[in-house]
Amino acid sequence: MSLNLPSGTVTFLFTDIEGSTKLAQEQRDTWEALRARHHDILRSAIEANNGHVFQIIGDAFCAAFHTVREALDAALTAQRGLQMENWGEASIKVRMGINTGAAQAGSNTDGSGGYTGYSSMARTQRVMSTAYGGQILLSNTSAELLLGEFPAGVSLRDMKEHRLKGLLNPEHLWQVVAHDLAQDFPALQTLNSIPNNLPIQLTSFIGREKEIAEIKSMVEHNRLVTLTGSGGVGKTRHSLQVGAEVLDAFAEGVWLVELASVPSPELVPQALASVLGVQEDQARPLVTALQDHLQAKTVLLLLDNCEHLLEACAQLADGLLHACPHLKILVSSREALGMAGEVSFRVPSLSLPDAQHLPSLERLTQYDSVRLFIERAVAVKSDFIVANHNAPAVAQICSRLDGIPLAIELAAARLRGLSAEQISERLDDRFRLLTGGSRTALPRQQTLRAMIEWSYDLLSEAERVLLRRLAVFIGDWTLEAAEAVCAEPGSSVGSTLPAAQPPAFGASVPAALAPAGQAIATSEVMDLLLRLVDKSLIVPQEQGGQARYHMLETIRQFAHDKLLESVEDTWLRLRHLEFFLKFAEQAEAELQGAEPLIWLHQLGAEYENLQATLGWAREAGSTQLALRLSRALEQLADVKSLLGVGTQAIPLYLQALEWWQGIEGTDKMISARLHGKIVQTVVNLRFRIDADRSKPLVEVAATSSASLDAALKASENEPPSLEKVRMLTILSTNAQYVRVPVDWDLAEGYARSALEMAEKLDAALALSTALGTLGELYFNRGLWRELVQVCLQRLALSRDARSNDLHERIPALIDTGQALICVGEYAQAIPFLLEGESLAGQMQDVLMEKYALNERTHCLFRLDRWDEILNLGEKLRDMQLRYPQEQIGASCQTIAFIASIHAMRGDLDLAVIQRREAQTIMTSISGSFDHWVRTEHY
Amino acid sequence: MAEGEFALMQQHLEAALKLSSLAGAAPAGDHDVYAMLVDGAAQQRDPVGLQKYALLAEQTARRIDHKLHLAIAQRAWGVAHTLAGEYSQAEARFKQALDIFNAYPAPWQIGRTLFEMGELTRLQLKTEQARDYYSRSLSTFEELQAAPYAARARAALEHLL
Repeated sequence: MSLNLPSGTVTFLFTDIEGSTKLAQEQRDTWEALRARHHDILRSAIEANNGHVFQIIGDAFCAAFHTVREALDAALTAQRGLQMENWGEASIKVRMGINTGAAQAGSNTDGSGGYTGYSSMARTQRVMSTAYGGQILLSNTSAELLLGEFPAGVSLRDMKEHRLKGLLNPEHLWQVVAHDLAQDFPALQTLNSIPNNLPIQLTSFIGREKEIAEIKSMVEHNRLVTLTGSGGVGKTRHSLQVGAEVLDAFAEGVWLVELASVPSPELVPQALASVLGVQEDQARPLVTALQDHLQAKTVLLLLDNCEHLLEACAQLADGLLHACPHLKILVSSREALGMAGEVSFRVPSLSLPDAQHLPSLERLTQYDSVRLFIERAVAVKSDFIVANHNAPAVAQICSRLDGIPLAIELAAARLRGLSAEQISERLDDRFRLLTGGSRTALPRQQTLRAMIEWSYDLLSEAERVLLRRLAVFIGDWTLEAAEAVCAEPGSSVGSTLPAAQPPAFGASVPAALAPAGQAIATSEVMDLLLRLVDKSLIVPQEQGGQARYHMLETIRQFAHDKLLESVEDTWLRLRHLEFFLKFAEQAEAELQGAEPLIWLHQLGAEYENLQATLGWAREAGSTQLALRLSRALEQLADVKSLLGVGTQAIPLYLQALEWWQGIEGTDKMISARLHGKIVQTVVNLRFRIDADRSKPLVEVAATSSASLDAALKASENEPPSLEKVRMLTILSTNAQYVRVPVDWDLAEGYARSALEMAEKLDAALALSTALGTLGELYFNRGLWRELVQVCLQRLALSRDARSNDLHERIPALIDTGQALICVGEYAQAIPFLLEGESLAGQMQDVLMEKYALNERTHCLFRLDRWDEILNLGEKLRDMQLRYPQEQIGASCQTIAFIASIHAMRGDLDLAVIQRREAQTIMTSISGSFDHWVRTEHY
Repeated sequence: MAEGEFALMQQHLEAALKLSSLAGAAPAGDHDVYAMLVDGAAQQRDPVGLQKYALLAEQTARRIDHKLHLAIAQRAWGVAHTLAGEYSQAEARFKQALDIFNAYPAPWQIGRTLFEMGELTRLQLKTEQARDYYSRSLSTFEELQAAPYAARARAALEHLL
């Protein structure tokens, strides 16, 4: 067998014994021997012609070849061998199909399978199924590739076009004719006899196997199915594909009724009658004629583009479905018909890469959106390939266009004159850029703007107003935010506001900015919002038990343009600012309350809106606003810091500090608090980033720690406070981790001062903070039994009902686990680490979750619980892939553990791969040689 | 551990210890390093390495009462005594190590210690005892699917026959 497996453009030969089930029953005693002989003939013919048998299912062979000629030679050799064999009473006749298309040989190349390329292989299967025993059929692609390469005495017979099950477009088939083989067969077994008007598609259908299977199942079990989704998402293509795939289930056909160009509701029945050839007649209404025509027929109607004719379509469907028991209807519309018995399926966007965390090229090209872009790109620029230089741009295009196929196709069409990078850069002006659609497409599918305008024009005036106002939100939003920001307080439903009406939310918004025209009352917002959801313009989602809403980016840009045109922009931004400032202030208080977890989630969810608020507010600033904004900035930085993106937090803290210092009469302790936060963030970052990146931060921390120390000394005569305890602990950790050189005595002095002050305060949180710092010091100095005691004390405090602070409890749990590891109490450490890992996961604290998981793996390794570690492999890999920069050293140690397990189990190849992976990661960062050296020999 | 690997490991771990002390840290992780070094020396049957690290490993493990590392040090002592022909001391050390490993339990360590006890009793010509230790070692390794270790125990058993 050749190890050089065909890949890329592959010719497939699929075979099958005709009537094998019946044969197996009739030849019960000899069947296995016959089948074995058949297998020998097939296998030797395939392998003699450089083919690779990659799957055998029962008696069906699947083989791959580099060229059509090799596949043809194999098929001819096999048919001749089968013909010459003495089969006794049995008659073994094998049908064969050859097709060429794109496919990739997978890693599983041991002969048990391993090809990807669903579309090429499905087509081969269909071609083969159409043939009779002894017959060899070729697809048109293979036949074209074969031209001029016929073996002597062999030719092709044109079998014309046939509609094959599951394929939208008819396939032109060719029969191999050889003088020494059977040449005459009955008419091919295809779907040509089933009537339909499904149009030929000029471009291929990419991906979507799962969606098509789901819709087919819905059509099988329901009589009225509606495909909804935003414009350009591919509802029509789904509908046509499903129609083609279920064609054989509808004896009287599948009929497409295109309604996009039907201007008014009364013309809907006429459109259907025209497709079905039903004539209007004086004696009965047209709808009755249609019912009579379809009454006894098994038919599937595809009603396409119904969103502007919802009521008329619903009435027609209702009447027909009641009168015609074997009729089914598949509707495509941006909004469901809203009928009893209707089931709907929301067609999703194509799968998208994360443009911020670019996957490998191989993985990138597996996303359906990228596959579509590449395929359409090659059509306009035949030498287009995705390589390292343009992969980020391609990912950006697909991601920023939300995986909407039409938008991606329009973008790919621009490759005629622009590079992928240029297209990506111009997406902010996407409506001007994406205008080059096919002239044969519907007018509303020729440009991106037209695609959305079609939906916008179908909205009521109030829906339009809300849609454009919702564009003020960045990212997603809650219903409450929409009500507070987008409605005019006090306005009645449907009223029209006078231009001079003063805004109700604060003196900072000039009255003249209030909008004129259509007003939306708060009580109206929910209904309008849900109507926009129904019309596929707003996407709902659930996050942490709360409903949130967002617009696809393309729709948001369109709505934003409309917002700018409406001159409500400034008014709305100020309302947005007011709402999110209040929110940030409330969150600050609630984070200290009983449910900090919920509020942390909410702050994280509103991050983008808060950031936008700050940007807008800078332009409007006043002293009062500056004060509130500084707090909001600090709050935002806290969230960034807590969410593990401290490098983004530091500039925000510095900015807040600058703002505070610019405000006359600011309390010195406020500046000290910000300095403390800066130092703390740098301390946290020291574990996350490499030495080069942390160098400037260390300098920032040195300045801030000096200011903090001075502020504390200046306030010595003032009463103790939790804030001061925190500052002392921050200075202690700074002396241990950031200060160059490390000063243990200074660190211990700060830690003991913090503990003394906390004891005076008798506050759980202060004690816990001080104990945590002392514990860190014990850890770093190797006083580990003492460390265990401190950790247990701190953990007990963090569980105390008085504090009940998860931010304290998570590190307390993990530190306790780690302290127990230090003294070799591995089994005792595991429950603490598990609890910490679980809470950190809930809090989305990636650093701590990964930390706990790595430490738990450490325990399991020391206890020789190898299977448990290998079972954790997927979670470990997933965390490493998603958060490669977090806990690098510990992650390498974990990989090294896994390598050791493989080595100890004798699988040296796997061990070497894992060991190299750890080594690669470790050598990619500097300053961690010590850690790596130690882990290497575990 | 392959030939020469122990020397490399020694070089790296000694460097790591030096780096830690240069960084100004207390020798917090030294017992960890000495446990690895002495275990490597035991696996290599390296009398010089055993001489150099066994005591350090034991002392640093006792300093914080780190039982796993103490057991590793005890086993290393057992190997050192075996190499020196001091069989009764070796047996005592192995038993202390085994008790600790059993208390965890840490099956791979148990299997390795049982194997060492098999080696010791084989040298003492106590064939039945050796067979028992090797067999228990083999079944422990088989349960862990530690193929190379199981093969070694199996070979030792076959050699006994």
